[in-house]
Amino acid sequence: QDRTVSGKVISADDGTALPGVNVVVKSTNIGTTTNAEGNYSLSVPANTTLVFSFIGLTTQEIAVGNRSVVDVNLASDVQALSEVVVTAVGIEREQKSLGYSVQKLNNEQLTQARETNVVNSLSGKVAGVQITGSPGVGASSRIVIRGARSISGNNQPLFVVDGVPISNGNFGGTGNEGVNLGNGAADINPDDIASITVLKGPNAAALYGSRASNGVVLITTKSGAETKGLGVSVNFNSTFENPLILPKYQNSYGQGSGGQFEFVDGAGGGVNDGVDESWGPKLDAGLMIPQFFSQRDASGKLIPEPWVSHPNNVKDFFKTGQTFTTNVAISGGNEKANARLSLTNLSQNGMVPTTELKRNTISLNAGVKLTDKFRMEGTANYVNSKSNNIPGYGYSGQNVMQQLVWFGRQVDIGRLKNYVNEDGEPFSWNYNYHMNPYFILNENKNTFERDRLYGNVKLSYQLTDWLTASVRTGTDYYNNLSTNRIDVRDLNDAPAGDYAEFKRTFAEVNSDFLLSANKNLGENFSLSLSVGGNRMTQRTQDNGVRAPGLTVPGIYNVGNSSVAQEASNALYRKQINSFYGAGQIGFKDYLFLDFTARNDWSSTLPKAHNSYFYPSVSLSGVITEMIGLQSNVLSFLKVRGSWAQVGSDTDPYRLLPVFNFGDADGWGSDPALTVPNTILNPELKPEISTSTEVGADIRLFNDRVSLDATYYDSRSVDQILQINISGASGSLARFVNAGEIRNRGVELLLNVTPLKLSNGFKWDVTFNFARNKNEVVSLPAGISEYNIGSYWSLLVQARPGQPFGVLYGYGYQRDPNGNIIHLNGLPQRDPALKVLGNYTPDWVGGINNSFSFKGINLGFLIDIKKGGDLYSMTSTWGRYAGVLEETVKGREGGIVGDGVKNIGIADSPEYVPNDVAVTAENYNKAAFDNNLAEGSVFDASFVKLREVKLGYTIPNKLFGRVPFRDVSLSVVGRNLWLISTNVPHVDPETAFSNSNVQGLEFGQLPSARSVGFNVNFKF
Amino acid sequence: CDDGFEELNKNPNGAEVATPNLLLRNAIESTVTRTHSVDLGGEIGSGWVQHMAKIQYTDEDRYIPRVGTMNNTWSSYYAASGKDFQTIIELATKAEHDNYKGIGMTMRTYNIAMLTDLFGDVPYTEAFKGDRGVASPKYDKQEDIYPMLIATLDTANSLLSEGGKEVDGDIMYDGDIEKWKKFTNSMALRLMLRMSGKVDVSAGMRKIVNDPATYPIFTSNDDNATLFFLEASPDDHPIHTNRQTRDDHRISENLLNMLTDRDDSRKFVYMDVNGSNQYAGIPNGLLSSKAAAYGLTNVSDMGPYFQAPDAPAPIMTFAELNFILAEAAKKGYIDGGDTKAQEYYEAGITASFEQFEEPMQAVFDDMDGVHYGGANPANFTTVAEEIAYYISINPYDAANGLQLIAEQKYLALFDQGLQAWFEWRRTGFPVLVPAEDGANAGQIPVRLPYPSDEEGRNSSNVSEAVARLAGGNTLNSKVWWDN
Repeated sequence: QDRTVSGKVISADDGTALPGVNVVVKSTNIGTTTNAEGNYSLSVPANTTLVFSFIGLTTQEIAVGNRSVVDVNLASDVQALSEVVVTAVGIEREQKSLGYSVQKLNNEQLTQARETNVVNSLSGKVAGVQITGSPGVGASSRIVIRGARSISGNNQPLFVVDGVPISNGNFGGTGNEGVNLGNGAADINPDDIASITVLKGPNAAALYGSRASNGVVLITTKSGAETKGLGVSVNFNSTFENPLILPKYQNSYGQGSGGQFEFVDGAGGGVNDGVDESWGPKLDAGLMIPQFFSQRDASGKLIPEPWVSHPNNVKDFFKTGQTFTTNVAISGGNEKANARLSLTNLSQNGMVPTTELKRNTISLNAGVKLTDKFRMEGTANYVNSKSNNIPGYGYSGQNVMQQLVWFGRQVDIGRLKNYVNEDGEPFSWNYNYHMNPYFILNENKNTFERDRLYGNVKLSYQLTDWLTASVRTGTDYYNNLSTNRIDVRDLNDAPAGDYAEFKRTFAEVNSDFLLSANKNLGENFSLSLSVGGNRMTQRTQDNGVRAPGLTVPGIYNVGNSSVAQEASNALYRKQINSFYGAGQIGFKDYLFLDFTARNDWSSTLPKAHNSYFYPSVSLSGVITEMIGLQSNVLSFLKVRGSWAQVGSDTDPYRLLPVFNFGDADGWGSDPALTVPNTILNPELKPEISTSTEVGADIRLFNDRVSLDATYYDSRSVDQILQINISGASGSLARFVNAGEIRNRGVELLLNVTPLKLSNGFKWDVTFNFARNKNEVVSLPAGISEYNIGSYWSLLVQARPGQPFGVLYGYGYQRDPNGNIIHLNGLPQRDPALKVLGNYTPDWVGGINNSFSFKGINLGFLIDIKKGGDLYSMTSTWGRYAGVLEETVKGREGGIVGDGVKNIGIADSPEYVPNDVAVTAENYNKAAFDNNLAEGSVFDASFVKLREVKLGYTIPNKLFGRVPFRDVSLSVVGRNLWLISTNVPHVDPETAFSNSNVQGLEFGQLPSARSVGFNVNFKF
Repeated sequence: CDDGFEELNKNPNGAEVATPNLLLRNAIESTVTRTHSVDLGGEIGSGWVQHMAKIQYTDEDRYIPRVGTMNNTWSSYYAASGKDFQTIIELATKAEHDNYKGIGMTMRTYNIAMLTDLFGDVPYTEAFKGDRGVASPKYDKQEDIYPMLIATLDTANSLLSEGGKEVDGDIMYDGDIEKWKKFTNSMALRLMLRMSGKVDVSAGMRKIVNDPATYPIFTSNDDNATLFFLEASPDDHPIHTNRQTRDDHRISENLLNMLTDRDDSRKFVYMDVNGSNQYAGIPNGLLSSKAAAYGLTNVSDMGPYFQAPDAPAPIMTFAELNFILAEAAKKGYIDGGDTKAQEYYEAGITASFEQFEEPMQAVFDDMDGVHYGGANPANFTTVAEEIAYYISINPYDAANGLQLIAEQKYLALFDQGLQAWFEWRRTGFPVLVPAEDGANAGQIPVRLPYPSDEEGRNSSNVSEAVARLAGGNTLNSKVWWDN
């Protein structure tokens, strides 16, 4: 006879009510779930046993007996490693059931010691993820998971926010010169992130399709669901930034050449006064020399001034950067509805004077239960980012760092702050090559403003207790307007002034449906099955206008152009339609078989090849439960394996050629067409990546030690490559399907709790390590090298048999014993190009220590990169220009280069030690110039103290009736210490952009060491 | 799946079909831009032949060309302009438009001739076929290329007809087909003379020179193959573009000495005065520190005439043609011997002075009869007077005819440094002293090395071509006509 049993389910950990817990009569399908207050009520047969289960919690079986009230405390299922993670297309899964590796970070790991660009926050925390940040406000970050997979395509993972992809592409106008406008994911506001889950590689991400072959960064934003009633949380973060590292300069010799200098007009009219190098007279030796700031005497001659050093002239140029972030979030919820509204203001002033960034974010996340079975939820994020000045980059007069490399070391930077004279004309230390840096920063501004809206709406309907249907549509839309100004008084880059505007409008819409079934098949088997479809459309519109000269000074409007205006526009469209399905069969909650299948149709591929199917399968087993191995030593052991395939399409318009219009191709106002330089390919096929992964989760000593180890091997074939071909063919490149990249690697994530005392003191160490062996297995037949990019004479390449990112350039000529050959005392260049390095690191890792004791927590993160090389033009030009500290050597008495000279004839050389002394100036200019890269390629390994956090959470009871709760204060620091580096003068961690062209540096803006505090409270 | 799914991938940003007139503008502009570019025409051409020198960043002047210069030259003459002319030829053939076809053939020939004179053996018969599957064209021997180029010019001449269809987009001759014919035949004479050390070119040259009705050649400076760049960027002269932001180049001491020795008034046009109102040059190929010590304002820069945004950019002039004919007459390739040689020699000088008449007259007017140094006793008033005087003090002398012709050609080819360099390589005149701090084993380069790009993209073919070079892929391996 049936009777009613009711009760309340609460968390054994914190005593809170648990909604949504499954309550089932054992061995039947009679059951219910708990409501928002954790209560349940169920009609049951006599002498029954109830099974209480909830994802992530230990399942309990309780014999009811004759009780009518059964209350239950459910404990976290730590032993079973049952952390819930969001997997592809939003399916929530217990980590223990997964056949592949994923890693999750929560909000505190991102927002306490925060980065303006959230991508940087992942550095050192996730095994297998390599981050390369670029310095400067608003700059981009490159993220690569498990190595580069595509030779010419994108190697960045897909970013998915609340189930819908958002663009991580650049905003236009980025490159190795110009300005760096950042990467798409940088718009995501860290305060709104509940968690980040990294799906590493095809195995985890197969269901996301084409764009997920490089892995997926899944971001879940905060919702009001966890809040009961109304809550307000406030977070205030303030950090102060200073340069982590600046080049080491010499302070013994000033501007000039051959030891001579005398300023007359700064443009060559005096003695070497047009020279922007520091091979001039000795400093601090009592010399009096006319200089750029000299006054004129009665006869109009410049009055000599003391020729003295200013060792801090570069350091003094920078100011303390400041970043303030304020977030206020209101959230509330009941069993019917929940919502969270968050407002965030970020205001950043860069270390480079006048550079800044402002970002305002409004985020709304809401859900409502329309009926018991019909739920609607949605998110909307509006981000407005803008800057009145972002710094110039690379080898450009608009990069103020450039002239600190080409510099007069005696220049007192303080005298340049007034950058115009009484007549309003530019005032500077040099009028031949450089504008006063303060002039550039105050007059030649680069601005941008971006409005971005992303979010989605989802409707889900519970068809039966085991079948759910949902539809969703989401969009990512932005409008980015960037402008570049050059004042008419600029003497170098555009003597008539220049104004350019570039606008990119981007819209991506993803609409999908999903049908999910979950069913227990008897006692031992569970089955879940999902099928769905997605349509992705993408549209990018680029518009540029430019006034290549200005009529009225200071008016930045294209109508003010003194010559013909230039304009260009381009439209790119693309669509992918997909159907997919995923299923899982579970056996006794310890053995899980997963499979996925997806078919894509991409508009970018020819009709014959535009449909492509790819499957994946994985198996995981919890050994400890399967064969009862569990003990105090071995608390948990799981092994897993998976195989997956993912196909990738390409960019639009790569099939059939068109003749291009081009601004620069016209003649005056007459239009002109050009024959395209790239041969397209109407037979392109999708790229295919195949990946195998095996791994194990091991937990020892009651979980005091846990290790997650993964080995993977992935091959990407039929790469869609734009390969360079002989210009004599009449074209410079063609598209082919060829080439293969292989990535093999090991990832380890080790958590150890060395100390856990009864008084509450706990010390946790997390160690992550990822060794990725990347190999370009093959290139198209007859092609021995693939140029990814170049910088000066150095090429960044893919070469068969070597890791992606070969640095290929000119080295020194050497005798058979490897000694550098000198001619007339100067080192000679070997005319043959050779491999000088490779930007791909051998391994990356991180060590995080955290200590907690009664509300106090202290953590520090050490981030390590081993291997990978950097070509530093700061080193080359800094040597050439005589500003770096190494160039002091041999200034008096000359340099006898280490190596040999040939005293035989060219055909029959005879090498003897070089004994010819040359001046330091001639030696450095011969050994370090743009045609000779070898001397400036360095091992870019580093060890950094990435993060230190000291936090205190004030016990709520101290507040009594004051309505504050959960008040936490922390002192935070990021990039505090470059513990180890082999690269002189600059931070080894640097990039011009987030493209595949990496391993290059010039005039790097210093990376920031930031220190600040974070205050967080609720009421 | 959807209607228009494939339509989405139709590129809306370009034209599926092009007409020759729309291609012609850019093809001419990019050809001339490369020839007059500062890295190639300025630093390799004018620099190595010692018209100009560098006063800062002197690597190129020390015979260390930038890697990019070779790569850009190759890809530019072949892909940016050569392929466009090839496409014009193909479109014109289909449309049966002989005038476009003739222009295309003449200009394609110019591009290939530049390549082979710079590098030696280069792809020709397999060139321009990348879109038909030949991504790695084989290299033809220069001795095979030259006759083909000359034959192509002959065909072009027969296609070009004043009575034929009109031509649009012609930014060089504005559709004047007679001038295109003159350029075509004049260039044929240039190429014949260049290979005359290897092949008997008498018949070919006589065919042209003796039949001006069928084979018209330049008859005045109005016929010069010159592109006048425009006032406004990006169609301004490459030297103007460069001087906007760079100040690395100055007049070579060698050129100044040669002009001074001859009391040559072209000096006033070719160069500007220095900061102290004097004419001063700088030796070629000094180490940077030595060059800098000369002082930027102490050495003359190129004259303002050449630095203007809309400066003329000749690729062949009437003056050069006269010196070609003078040498041909002197050597007996055409009739007339020394008498004709002298006539052409004087006509060449006259053409060169007249080419610069406008800026030269302006200088004379400025000087207002003031004597400006040198042995010249005249008070300059008109260019015509100056020409007569100049020829009188620099007369043709049959005993040194070839040297005099070559030296005058050299002086006339200022601003066309590549042609001056090719001719110096062929004739050995004027006698030049290699750069003091040159990095090429004490020699002036006689060739550009194959671009590094070819090593990766066309390796077996480039290796085969290198194997044919006695001295390897160096600056010192002579090309066929130079051996």
